[in-house]
Amino acid sequence: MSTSTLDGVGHGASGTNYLNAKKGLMSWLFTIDHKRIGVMYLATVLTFFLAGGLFALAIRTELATPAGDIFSAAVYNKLFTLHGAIMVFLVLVPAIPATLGNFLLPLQLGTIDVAFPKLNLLSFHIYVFGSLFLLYTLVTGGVDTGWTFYTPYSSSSADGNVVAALTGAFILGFSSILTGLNFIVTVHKMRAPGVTWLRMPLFVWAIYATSVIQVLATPVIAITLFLLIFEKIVGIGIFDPALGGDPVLFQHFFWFYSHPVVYVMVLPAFGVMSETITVHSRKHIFGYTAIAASSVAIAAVGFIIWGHHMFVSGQSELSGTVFSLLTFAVAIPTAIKLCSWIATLYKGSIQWNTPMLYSLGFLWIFAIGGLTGLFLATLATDVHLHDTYFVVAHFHYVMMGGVLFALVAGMHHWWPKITGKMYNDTIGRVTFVLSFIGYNLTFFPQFVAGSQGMPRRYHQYLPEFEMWNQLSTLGSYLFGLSLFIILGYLLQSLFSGKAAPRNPWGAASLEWRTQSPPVEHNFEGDVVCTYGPYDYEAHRALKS
Amino acid sequence: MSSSHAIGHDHEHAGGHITPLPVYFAVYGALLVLTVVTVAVSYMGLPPLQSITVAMLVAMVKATLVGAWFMHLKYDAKFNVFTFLAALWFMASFFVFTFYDLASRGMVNEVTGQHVLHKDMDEQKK
Amino acid sequence: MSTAAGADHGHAHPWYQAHHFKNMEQQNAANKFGMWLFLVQELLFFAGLFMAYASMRFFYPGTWLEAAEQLDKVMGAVNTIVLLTSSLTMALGVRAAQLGNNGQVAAWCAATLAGAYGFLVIKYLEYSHKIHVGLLPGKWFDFKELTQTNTDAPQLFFSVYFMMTGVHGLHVVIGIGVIFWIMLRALRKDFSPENYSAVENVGLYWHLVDLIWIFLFPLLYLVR
Repeated sequence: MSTSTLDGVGHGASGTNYLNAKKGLMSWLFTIDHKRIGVMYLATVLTFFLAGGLFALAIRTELATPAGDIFSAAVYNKLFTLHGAIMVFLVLVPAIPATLGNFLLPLQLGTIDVAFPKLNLLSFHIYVFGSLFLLYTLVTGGVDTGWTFYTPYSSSSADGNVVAALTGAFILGFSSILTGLNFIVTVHKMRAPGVTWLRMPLFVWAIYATSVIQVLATPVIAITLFLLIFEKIVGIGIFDPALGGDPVLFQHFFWFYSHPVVYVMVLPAFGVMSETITVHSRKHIFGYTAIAASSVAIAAVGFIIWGHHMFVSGQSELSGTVFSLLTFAVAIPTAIKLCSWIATLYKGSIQWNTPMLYSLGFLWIFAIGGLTGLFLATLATDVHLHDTYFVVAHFHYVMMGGVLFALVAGMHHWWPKITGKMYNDTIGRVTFVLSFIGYNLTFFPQFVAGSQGMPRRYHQYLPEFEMWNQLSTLGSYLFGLSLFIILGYLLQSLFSGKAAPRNPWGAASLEWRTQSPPVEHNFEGDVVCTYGPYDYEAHRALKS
Repeated sequence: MSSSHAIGHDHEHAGGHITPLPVYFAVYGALLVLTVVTVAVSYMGLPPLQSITVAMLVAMVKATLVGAWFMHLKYDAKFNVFTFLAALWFMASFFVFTFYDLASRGMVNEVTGQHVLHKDMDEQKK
Repeated sequence: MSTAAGADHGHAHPWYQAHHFKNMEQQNAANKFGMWLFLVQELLFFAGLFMAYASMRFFYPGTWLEAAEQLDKVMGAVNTIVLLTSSLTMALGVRAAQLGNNGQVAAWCAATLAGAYGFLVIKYLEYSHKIHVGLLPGKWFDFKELTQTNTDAPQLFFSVYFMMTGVHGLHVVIGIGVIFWIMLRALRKDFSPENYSAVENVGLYWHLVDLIWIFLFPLLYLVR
């Protein structure tokens, strides 16, 4: 038994690794290697992100002028529904846990694989199978219910193939549940010797909290969609007022999953931040225990605040008050995280490289997204802001901006480990400026338009909102362009990038102790962990 | 790994905890008795609230018997017990908060939605 | 350092130990914990049905009392006993697996399967009666007696009844599949005191199906 070497310079391209150990398409599609499954998820998720993004650009193009001149109202309804459904179910939920999470979890725990490798592959296949239903919906005329499938519209008069879309989302849920289950067991049972609970990287803590939500919340959306499918084809009436049911009950069912699921999206993003910020400021993370505990606290409190989506939909006023109060409570653990990251930066030796820039971008975007959430959590202001572009801007700042900036930061941070290649950091930094401006230009004006009363989900609007919408459309093009540039230089690095060393950033967590890219079974020998993931002094001492 | 095991063997070994046969039969007997009890109570004509309370209490006792002995929770790793209880906790939060909304509708502002009307109709029929 | 870890640690593993586990203790504990997490998601899945039941009953308490009278308490009670018995035989099957007695595992699995089929047969008799007289869910409801005495929504009781028992029945069918698989493996002499977590996990699943029914029975059949 030998501990693997810790040298910062490595032999990246030499010998076999998980990418070239086996060859052929089948060796990928039926692999049980968590690293390959992670890479396959990444490719699939990014493909769907492209599709969802094109829908978004179509929406923004329509909204460039006040008149509904490009798409009819009916087509526009389908565009935003498909944009939302694809982005939520196919992109944001698996965006970080199934991609970076799959790749990194066993590596960061110093183990060979997740607890159930075959189940992991099954999750991926279920994900692809479920996505086929959404694609089928797409080519057979789409669906216009909005991604929320609110009854009674979805159960009675909705246009398009609602049942196929519901079935797709139902199936995708099981992929999510099985991934979460797998990761929880992995964290509990698969840690290498020396990896105690408090020596787990914060990314692992975040994925752990995420997985708990996936296992607990996703089954409820599964039964909700199941009931809605039967509502649609058999007419059981539980959610249909015409048959005596209660449409607000559907919203309870729906948001019991769909609020916690925003933490499925954003907790892994927090996890990425907790890695990139400390590594690229060369400083031990501030408040390790607080960050770890706040992840679990967010997961727990996140379950009892769903009613803030229903302040104006016929829920009782008293229950609205309770949900409003609890919603404010979730700001506490979130703020603990944000403050801990800023304290980590304080007096750190900040490296102004691409992952760090995207991390700083995340802090800005998430702070805005989080703080505008407080306006919406307040009952009285929500009555005014509900269903306006203020809400659209808010959830894009937290869900899309938060997740995407963290995903891009994480992809740059772990790209050398995943692919064994270094990308061009200069282009990376320039593109960051472009994407940061583009992003804020897209969504900040929507706060203004929304607070002035522009409603969401219409294909035309009053002329007074024209300027804000044109800024937003311009920003969306800029942001779209910058994403293509990122894709371009990352793909280019695969062919002409420098070979990546074992540990290009001088990080102390376990995944950097193996070669880049890792060997098929992750580590060259058995791993024994003797210091924490952010203990740079111990790491340097051991190396010299 | 020894291949012979005495019945009622009490400490951990390769096969995990072996529950003695009489315990399984005793639990089964209790489950049957409780089933008869809960059916018998349903014929007593108790008011709905009392009736459902008794039925649920009996069901919880039965569920505890199944969980503790048939599912081995009594001898299992404590964390599995915690996992099971956590699921019940989150189920409870779903029930409590949703039900709080249903029960408190119209308590501040009068609403004339159909559910209030249906409830009234139920009252009138009695 | 040069040899790849995992494929071979230098000592032989039994055939049933996966390469990424260090020992059977770790593998068994992981399997069982994974199964418990699966049961957690099952519980949350059924939670939606229980919530639908609770809210519909809350909206229509009178209807609920009248509509539930249409269910056959005796059939429900018999089915409860059938399912409890199959739970016992499953528990005894797991016990046989703990002791490494593959023959007994197969026998107890067969007994459990008999119970499961019995449950489905009784359920089929109940269903066919209800379909025959028009006690159907939602918009298909066509039972004159109840619609005349009650202008409320008796169809909702039967929506809830069919969804709850239908989803539960689906779990029974899946249970038959996995118990059958265990029976075949037992006939192949797969299990030993060190390797029985498949039997145990299928047992846990089957007990959960029983556990759900323990609540469904009084909620649906014993309302009054």
